[in-house]
Amino acid sequence: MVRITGRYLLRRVAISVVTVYVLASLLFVLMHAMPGSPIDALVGPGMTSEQIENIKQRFGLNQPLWRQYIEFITSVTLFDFGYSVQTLEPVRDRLLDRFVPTLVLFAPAFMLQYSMGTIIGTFLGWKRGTKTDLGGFTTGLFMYSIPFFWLGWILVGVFSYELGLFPSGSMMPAFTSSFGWVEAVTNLLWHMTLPVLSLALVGWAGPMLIMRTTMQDVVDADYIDFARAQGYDEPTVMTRFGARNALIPVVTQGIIGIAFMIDGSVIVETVFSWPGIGQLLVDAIFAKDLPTALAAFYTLGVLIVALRLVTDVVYTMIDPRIEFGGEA
Amino acid sequence: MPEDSTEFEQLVDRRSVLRYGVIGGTVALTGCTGGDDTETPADSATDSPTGTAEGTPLSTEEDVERGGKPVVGLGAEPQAFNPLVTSDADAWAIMDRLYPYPTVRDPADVENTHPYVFNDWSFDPDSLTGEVTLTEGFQWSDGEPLDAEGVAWWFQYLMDQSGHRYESNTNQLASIEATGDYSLEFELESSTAAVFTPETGVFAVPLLPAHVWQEVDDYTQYSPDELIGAHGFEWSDSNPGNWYELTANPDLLPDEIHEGPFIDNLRFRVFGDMTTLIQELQRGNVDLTYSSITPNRAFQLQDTDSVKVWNSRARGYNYIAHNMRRVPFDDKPFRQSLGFIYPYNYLQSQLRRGLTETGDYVAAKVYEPWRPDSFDQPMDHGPYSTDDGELDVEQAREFLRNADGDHEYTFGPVESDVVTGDQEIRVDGELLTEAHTNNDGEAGQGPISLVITPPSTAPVEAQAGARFVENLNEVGIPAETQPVAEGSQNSLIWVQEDFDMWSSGWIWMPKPHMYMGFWLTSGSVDADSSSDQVNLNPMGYTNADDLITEVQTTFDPDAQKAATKEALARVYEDQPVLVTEYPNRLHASSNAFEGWVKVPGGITQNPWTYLNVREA
Amino acid sequence: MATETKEVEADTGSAMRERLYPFVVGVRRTWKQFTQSKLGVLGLFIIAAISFIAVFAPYIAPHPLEWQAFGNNPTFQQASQLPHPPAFGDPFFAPLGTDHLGHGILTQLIYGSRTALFIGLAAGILSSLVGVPLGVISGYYSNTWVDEGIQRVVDVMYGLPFLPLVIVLVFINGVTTTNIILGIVAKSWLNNAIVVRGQVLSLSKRPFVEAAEASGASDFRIMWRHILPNVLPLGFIYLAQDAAFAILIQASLAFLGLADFTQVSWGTMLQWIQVQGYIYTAPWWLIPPGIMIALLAASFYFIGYSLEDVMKPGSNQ
Repeated sequence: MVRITGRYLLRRVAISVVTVYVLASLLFVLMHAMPGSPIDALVGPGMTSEQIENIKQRFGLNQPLWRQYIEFITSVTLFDFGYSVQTLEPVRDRLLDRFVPTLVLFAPAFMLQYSMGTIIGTFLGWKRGTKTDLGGFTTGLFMYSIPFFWLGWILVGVFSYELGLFPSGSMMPAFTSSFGWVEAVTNLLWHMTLPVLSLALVGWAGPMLIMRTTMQDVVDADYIDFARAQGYDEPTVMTRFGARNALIPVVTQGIIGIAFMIDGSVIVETVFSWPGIGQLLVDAIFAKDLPTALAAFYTLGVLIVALRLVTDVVYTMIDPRIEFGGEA
Repeated sequence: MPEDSTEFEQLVDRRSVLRYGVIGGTVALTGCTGGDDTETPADSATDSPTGTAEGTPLSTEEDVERGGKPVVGLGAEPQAFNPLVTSDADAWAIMDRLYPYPTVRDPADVENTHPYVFNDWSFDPDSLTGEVTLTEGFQWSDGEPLDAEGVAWWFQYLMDQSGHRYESNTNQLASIEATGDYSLEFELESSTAAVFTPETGVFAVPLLPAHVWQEVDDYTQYSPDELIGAHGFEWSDSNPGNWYELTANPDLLPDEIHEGPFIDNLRFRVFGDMTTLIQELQRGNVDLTYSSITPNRAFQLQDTDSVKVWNSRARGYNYIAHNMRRVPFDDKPFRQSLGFIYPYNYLQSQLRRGLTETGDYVAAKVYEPWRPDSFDQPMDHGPYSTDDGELDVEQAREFLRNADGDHEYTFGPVESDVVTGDQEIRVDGELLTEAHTNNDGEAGQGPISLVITPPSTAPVEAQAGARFVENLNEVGIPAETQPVAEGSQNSLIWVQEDFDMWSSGWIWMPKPHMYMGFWLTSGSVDADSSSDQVNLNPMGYTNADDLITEVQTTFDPDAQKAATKEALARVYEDQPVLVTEYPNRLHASSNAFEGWVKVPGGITQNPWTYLNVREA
Repeated sequence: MATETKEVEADTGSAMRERLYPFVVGVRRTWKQFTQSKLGVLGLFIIAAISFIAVFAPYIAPHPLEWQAFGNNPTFQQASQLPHPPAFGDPFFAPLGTDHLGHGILTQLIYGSRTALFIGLAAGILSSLVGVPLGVISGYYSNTWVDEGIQRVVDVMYGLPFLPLVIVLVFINGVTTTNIILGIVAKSWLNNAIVVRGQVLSLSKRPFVEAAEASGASDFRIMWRHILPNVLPLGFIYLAQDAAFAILIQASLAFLGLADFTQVSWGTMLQWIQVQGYIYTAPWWLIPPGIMIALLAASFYFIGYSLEDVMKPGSNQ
C-alpha cells in the first residue's frame, strides 16, 4: 500500500512538467524535419526573394534554429502559439474554436462507450465460460477491429443517403447563426448521432474487455461468497459487490480509452466534417501550417500527460485492499 | 449561346474543335499577373474601350423574377480573406463577389475589354500619361460611394506597400490622382501595351474600399471576418470554415453594367471531401461546384436529372518538367524519347474518359491561331504503340540508340531492381543509375524519379505518372515515383530545384505569347541552383530566349503570331517540359437555377455568372 | 531475439540448446495454454487461412493483378459501366465486381492480403523486439537510473497521440510501406515495454529468481533464462494486439491519403474508392476490404485476448 505523500505527488507533477517540455522539444524537432519549407503555403510564384524574406520574418523563421526553439518553448509556456500560416489569425483562436466541438463529440461518445462497455463487460465476466460469454466476447473483439471511417461511411450511406434520417456531416445546419435553445440542442443531437455512433460502436469493446477481465477476478473472491451466503440475490451480488470492485481498473485505465479516442476522433471528424481539433491537426500537417500543427499536437500531448498524472495518482490512492475489507 | 452538351458519347467521338468555347472569354482568376506583355490584336496599342455596356447576351429578358439562394460548394476551407496575400482559390471565390475590377472581359466577345468600374479610358504612350472615367453607381455596402478619390488612394496604397500580390502591377505606376468625383489622371513608369486589359494590365487589380484600408496598419496581419464589397453582394453571415453567406444588393451595382444579381442570397458551403459535395449536389442541397471536378464524377452525375454538367475546353495544361541540370536530362534526345513513352492514350481514354486533349505545345489547342500549323520536326506524337495498343518498347529503344545528342545510349542486361523490361539502358556505357547526376554534378543517383502529388489529392495525374514510370521501366529506363504532398512542392521544385521530373498540376495560361516569357526564359533560371529564391524556370531552360524576346517585342499582330509559332515550335523540340494534356474543365450545376454564364474555363470563375443567375 | 548472446556457460547441453532454451520453454508454455481457448484457435485458423491465400495468391485469384474487365482500351460504352457490380461470366468473371478501371475486386482482395499480413506481423514483431527487452531490463533494474531513463522516455513518447505521430513520421520520411511500419513501431512498443516491466517487477521477487541471484548467476543470465520465458506469453499477447492495431492504423493512413499506392492493399482499395467518389454507389467495392481488415485484425485480437484469458490464475478451464 502506497501512501500518498506530498513528496510523491510533487515528484509526479515535476516529472509531468518535464515530460511536457521534452515533448514540446521533440515536436519542434519533428515538425521542422518535415520536408518543404514552413511557409510553403504562402509562397507563390512571382514572389521576389525580398517578399519571401518578409514573410519569413513575420513568422520568425529567418532566425537561427536555436533561437526559434527558445521562442517556441517560451511561447508554449504562455500558451501563445503565434499566427497560423494558413489563415493568418492567432493560432490560439483557432484552437479554442475547435476545442469545444471536439469535446462535444468526445464526451458523449466516451460516456456511451464506457457505459455500454462496463455493463456488458460485467455481465460477460460474471457469466464467464458460458456461450454468452464467448458470443459477447467475439462480437466485441470483432467490432473493435472495424475501421472507424469505414463504419462511418456505411452509417452515412445507409442512414443518411438511403433512409434520409440523419445529416451526412457537419455540426449544425448551414446558413443559420441564431438558434433557439431547444432548436440548437435538437440540431446538435441530430448531427451528432452518426459520428458518436461511429466512435462508440467500435470503442465499447475496450472497456468491456477490461471490465470482463476484472470481473473474472472478482467472481472467485471470498467476499462474493459471503454476500451470497448472506442471502443477497444474484444480480445484487453481481452489481453491488462484484462490479464495484471491478470498476477500479476500468477507471484507471480510462486513459488508454482516451488516447484511443483521440485517434478515433481524428478520423471521425474528417469523415463527418466535424470542426474539431483532430481535423485541425491533420489539416495543418498536410498544409504545412507549422504553428497550428505544433500547437494542436502540443495541446493533445499536454492533455494526455495530465490525464496520465491524474490516473497514476488516483490509482495509487484507491487501493481495493483498503476499502473493501482486506482481500488481496 | 450554344448549349453545352451532357451527351458524353458525342464528346468522345467527335473531339472537334468547333464544339467548345465558341464564346470566348477568360477566367477572372487568381494567379500570376504578368509583367511585361504584349497584347492581342483586338486590344490594340490604343487600348480603347468598346463602348458602354450594351448588347451583352445576359440580361435581355424583361422582368427576371428575383429570388433564390443558390449554394456554391467549395472543396476546401477558404484561407485568410486578405486579397494582398492569399492566392487560395476558395477564398477568392468569395472575395471576387465583393471586389470589382476596373475592366473585365466581354462574355459575348472575349477578345474585347469590357468596361466595369472604369467606364472610359485613354493612354498616350508617348507622354506615358492617361485618363480614366469611372462608372457612376458603384457603392460600397457600408454606404460609401466608390469614387475617384477612393480608387486613387487605393492604388497609391498599393504603390507604397511592398511584398503584396499586385506589386508587379502597381510598380508600373508612377503616379495617380483624382481629378474629379469620377475622373482620374495617372502616369506610368514606362511604356507598355497592356494597361487596361483584364488580368494582365497595369490596372488588373481588385478595388478595395479605401476607407476601410486606411485603418489597416500592417496588411500582412489583416485577417477580417467581414468584408465590405461593391460588387452587387454584401457580407451577411458566416461560420468560418463551414459556410458563408452573402446577401445580394443590386443597388450596389449600376444597372448599366448589369441588372442583377437576381438572387436573394449567395451561399458558400465548405465540404471536406468531394464525394459529400457531389452527393449534396444530387440531393439538391448544393447548386454549383466551384472547382473543376474529375471526369469520373462528371460521369456519375450524368444520370441525375436534376444536375447539369458543363464541359469547357481547357485554356491551360498539365505538364512534366525536366531538370535540365542533371544527366541524362541535359540531353535533348533523351527528353524527346520520354514523349514517346508517356502513356497519352491511357491518360486520355481511361483516366479522363475522353474529356481532355493530348498535349504538345505549351499552348492549349484553344489558342489555334498561335500554334504552329504542323509539327515541323519529323516526329510523331507519342507514345509508340504496337497494333494492339501496347507500348512499343523496341521502337522507343531504337529512337534512343539512334539519338544524336550529347550522350550515347545503348541497352544491355538488366541490373536494377526496378526495371521490368528485358534490357536496361546505359548512358555512354555506364548504367543510368550510375550516370544519373544531381544538381551539383555528383553521379550515381540511382533511378530517375518523378515527383507527383499523391493520388488522394490528384488521382488522375498520380495514376498517369505511375503508368509513365511503369512504361519507363518496361523500356529499360529505371524510374520511380516520388509522391510529395502538394504543400511541400513549392520549395522543393521552385527554390531548391531538387527533382528529376516533376508532374505539375493544372496551370492556367492565357495566350501563349504573353506567358512564355514568364517561365521559359533564362531570366527565371537559377542555373546552379544556389539561390533561395522562387524561380519559375526550375528546368533551367535557356534555349528559346531570342525567340521569346522576339515575340514580346513584336507589336504587329500577324508578325507576332508568326513569332509565337516559331517560339512554340522551338520549345516543343527542345522539350524542357513534356506537356501531357489540356484537360477539360468540368463543372456541375443543379437545374434549380439557370442563367449561368459559360466561358472557356467554365462557369464559376467569371463575374457575370453570379450576376446573371436566377431561379429556374 | 536478435540480440547477440555472450553466453559462454559451458553447462549441460549444447550451446545451441542453451541459446534456444528460453524460447522453447516460453513457446511451449504459451502454446499449451493457448490451445485451451476455442476463440484463440479460431483466430489462428483465420490467420492461417489468410496466410495461405497470401502465399498462393497467383493460384487462387481468378485473374492476375493487371487484368482489366474490358481490357486496356475499353470503348466508351464499356467504360461507362465501370465500376461494375459482381458478374459471373457474362460479360466477364468477377465475383466481387470491379473498380473504376476494371480491375477485379476479388483479385485485389487476395493480393492485398500480402500487404496486410506483412504490415501486421512486421509491426507486431518489431514492436516486441524493441519493447520486450526494454521492459525486461527496465523491470529487472527497477528504480535504478536505467529504469528511470527508460521510464522517462516512455512518458514522453506516451504523450504523443498515435495517429498524428505516425502521420508526421510518414510525411517526413516518405510514404512507403517500410516507413509506415517504422512509424507504427515508434509508438507501438510502449505498451509492450510498460506491461512487461510490470510483470518483471513481480517476477523479480519470486523465489526462483532470488535463488538464481544467490547462486551467483549474472544479471543477463537471469533475465535471459529465468525471466524471459515467463514474460514471453505476455509478450505474445501484446504482439498480437500490436499487429491488429498496425493493420487498423494502416487503414486509417490510407483513408487520409498516406498509403503506398503503388502496392495493392486493402487500405489502398478504400483510398481509391474514396478518391474516385464511389463510396455510396459501389458497395461491392466498399464492403469487402473493410470486412477483410476487420477480420484479420479481429483474429489477431482473438489470439491476443484469449491468451490473456487462459493465463489468468484460477481459471476454471
